[in-house]
Amino acid sequence: MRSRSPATLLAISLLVAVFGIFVLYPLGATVAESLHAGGELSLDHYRFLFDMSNRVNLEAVGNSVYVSVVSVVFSGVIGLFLAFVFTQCRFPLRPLLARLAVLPVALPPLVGVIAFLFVFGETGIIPRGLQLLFGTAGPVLPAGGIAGVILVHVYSFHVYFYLFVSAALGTLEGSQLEAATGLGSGPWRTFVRVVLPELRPGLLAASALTFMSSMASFTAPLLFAGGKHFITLQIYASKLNGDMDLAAAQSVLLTAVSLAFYLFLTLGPARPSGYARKGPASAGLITPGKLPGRVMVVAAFTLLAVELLPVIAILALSLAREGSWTTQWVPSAYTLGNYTAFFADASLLVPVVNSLEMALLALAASLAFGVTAAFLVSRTRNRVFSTWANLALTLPYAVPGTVVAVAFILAFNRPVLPGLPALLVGTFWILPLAYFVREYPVVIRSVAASLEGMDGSLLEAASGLGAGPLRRFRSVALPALLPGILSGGVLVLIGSLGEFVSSILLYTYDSRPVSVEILAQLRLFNIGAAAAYSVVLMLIILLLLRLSGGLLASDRRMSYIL
Amino acid sequence: MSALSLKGLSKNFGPFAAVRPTDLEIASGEFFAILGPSGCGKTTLLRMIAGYEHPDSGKVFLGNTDITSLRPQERGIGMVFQNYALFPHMTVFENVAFGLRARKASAKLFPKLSPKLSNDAIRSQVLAALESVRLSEKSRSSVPALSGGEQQRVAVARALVIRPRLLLFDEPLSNLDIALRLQTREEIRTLQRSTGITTVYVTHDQGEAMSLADRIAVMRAGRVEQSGDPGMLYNSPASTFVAEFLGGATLIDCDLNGPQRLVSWGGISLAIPAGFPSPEPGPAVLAIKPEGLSLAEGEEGGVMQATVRSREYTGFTTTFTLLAGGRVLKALVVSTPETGSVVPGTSVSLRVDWRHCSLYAARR
Repeated sequence: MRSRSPATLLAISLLVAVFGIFVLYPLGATVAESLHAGGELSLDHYRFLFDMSNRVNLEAVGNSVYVSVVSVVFSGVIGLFLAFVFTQCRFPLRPLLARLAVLPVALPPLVGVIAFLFVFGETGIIPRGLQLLFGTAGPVLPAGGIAGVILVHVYSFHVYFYLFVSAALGTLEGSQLEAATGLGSGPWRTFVRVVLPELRPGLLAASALTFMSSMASFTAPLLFAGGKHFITLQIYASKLNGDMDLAAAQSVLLTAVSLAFYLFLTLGPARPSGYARKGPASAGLITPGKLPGRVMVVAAFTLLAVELLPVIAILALSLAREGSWTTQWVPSAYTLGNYTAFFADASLLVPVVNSLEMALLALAASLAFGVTAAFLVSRTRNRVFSTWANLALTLPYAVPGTVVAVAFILAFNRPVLPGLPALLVGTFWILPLAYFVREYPVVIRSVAASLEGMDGSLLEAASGLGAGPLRRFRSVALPALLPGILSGGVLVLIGSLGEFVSSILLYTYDSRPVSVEILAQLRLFNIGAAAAYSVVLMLIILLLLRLSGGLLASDRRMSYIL
Repeated sequence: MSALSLKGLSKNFGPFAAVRPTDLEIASGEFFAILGPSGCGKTTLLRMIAGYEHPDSGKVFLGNTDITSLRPQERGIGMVFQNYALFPHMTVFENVAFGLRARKASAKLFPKLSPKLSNDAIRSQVLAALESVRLSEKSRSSVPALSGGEQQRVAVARALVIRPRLLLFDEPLSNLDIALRLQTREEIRTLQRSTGITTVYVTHDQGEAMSLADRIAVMRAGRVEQSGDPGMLYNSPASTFVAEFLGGATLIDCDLNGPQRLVSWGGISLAIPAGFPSPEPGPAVLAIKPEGLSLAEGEEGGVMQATVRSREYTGFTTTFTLLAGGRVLKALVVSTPETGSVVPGTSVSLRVDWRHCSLYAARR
């Protein structure tokens, strides 16, 4: 092995230091805390978790697992169906509609959940509208409890299946289907023998991702569960009760489950990304002219409408006069006041500015760390090492937001190193750091995807022409990786701007992010204000997506990054 | 003194010996080709010279300097990659200027090591390099907009402009179509002659190696089987592999009868001319190049009988596939009205030109 250049060595040591302090140390502190009771090593907290006499925790785990499994099944069915209709069927406005189909993935989790609540919840527009229509005593079919949580999950997570399946269908060559048909295979046989094998890896990956996300889901249970226990809510409750030991043990349990699925996701089946398609993509498994095709298209349009309804509702509700939506099915009075208030009172914009500021800090840190890490890992020849290094570096991807928050509290409510004064908990810096840890893996994944597509001989050519490592990175690697960096960066911004799960446990009043403000307004029954904040957040995100040049339009890119 | 010497250079990938200890001496200004089938280690050898692979043993000398432990950017060697490895986000001009700009940057840090280059100097050198590959008008084009042949020439200009002490080519023509390949081959040869830069050229195409190189090393399974000038390799291949790979010879297992100087197989016996180099009597291999066989007039005019199995007409020449003594042979002849009348199934009599034959002891 030849010696590395000083620049490389410096970069490696910085990476290791940042990773050690902000990822390994907090997680280690959490594990350590969970294994201590009364200052001694003990398994008491875990015994308590599995205590048969107090079944709250077991019930919470049971509910979380049950909801996750059901979410996977329904998300899968709907995502698969939509992907098929939108890639295999020709109808007007298809590109626009296909892009709208992935909208929920760009919605901040809190916004998605409250929008869903406004439309389908106990006091939502549809149940109350149906109540009026049929003259029943109570709201008709309100979403709530376990079923409500599942519905919200399916609403958000079916997009994973949609993205993975469309990407896989995109790699399917039209000529493959023609060949199958030419060899005498009927549509059903072609689907089972030719199409399905192509989809299998994508379906497995989407299932694992949906399961992971459902287990880690916090917002949906918080707003919909109505007294049912979920593991993430238990962690939140333990923290609010000041029982950090128990919160740590619950966090370790949740992370272990999540990690198992992450390992499967990364080391398991290959993603449908590396296959270079030569011919035109397949399109035409479904013929819209025939009756079954027509039914499918209509069904898909209905689903899409259901998907868009919450977004439309939140736009409308942001115009509702406060206090005008109590027992009515829709607000009775409308105003622009919720928006003009932002101009009248600048202090109302503080949460928005806070979120922007913290998201930009998280972005800068994530790009610096993520791009360097992905690049350095890709330079090693050792395949096994690079796989595991990538896995370790993207570890926070598998750590639920609630757990990140608990780990940060445990790690940074005391000085990191003896002699260093900084207590991070309770300062402005804790949230941008938490956002950084939560979001940087997406930069690594995105850049790694670009690196995989990059021709390695470019760097060799550059070094042969006399370029040192810094110049190679700056003038050859960076431009080639720009699309990956851009999409990773946009995803970091979107994730950080709407981040809620860690924020709710870590925020200080002065640096409260917009998501926390939305919840606060909601709790004050200021529906209009909550909706207006949500709309502002969505507009910023929409703008980012436009600037990034149709990131969501590329199913293949997204399916690789997620 | 050699411009490039390899001393006992070897490289293993895990248990696979890609290059076994190899010595080569390449003279200053020489055009040297490394020829071999895929997987023979020729590219690995080239990459060790460029510094992209670190040898397991042995040393690389550029002139008198041991460069074995230098990084690629410290070697000052130009390389043209098989896929050209042009930077897709840069224009043609920027691609060619890349090496000079890198030198300019390092000149700032280490003024003694690299010569100072002004922007004007870089500009004129880049334009001169583009001129030499006839791409002056394309200097502002983006790389993806160029044709394959043009991209190839940009890659050559980019390697030449840094005035390398050594120029390396890794199968540079394999992505071009046949007509362009012949034309580019000529251009590379002319360019190398006019610049006089010592060149190492890796290829699996024997025609390319023969037409370009002053000397060729034929590699097989990580070893150099034979090296020498093209005529020597063609006329006296040192092994059956060289005879087959370079000359396209047919190999025939036969018996070599010492006292009577006969080779025989399947009922056919051929007399070996006096003075023809031959191994010890016993089992042997006879290598006959297609141009060593020709059809005799009449059915008895030649030295052996054969049956025509197929005929491949390519215009000026015709290649016959023949069966003689149970072996399949090839005969390459100039097309005539007579050769056109020889149809599959015909019995013919063959003449043997021993200048296109060689004899080896059979491998045990």
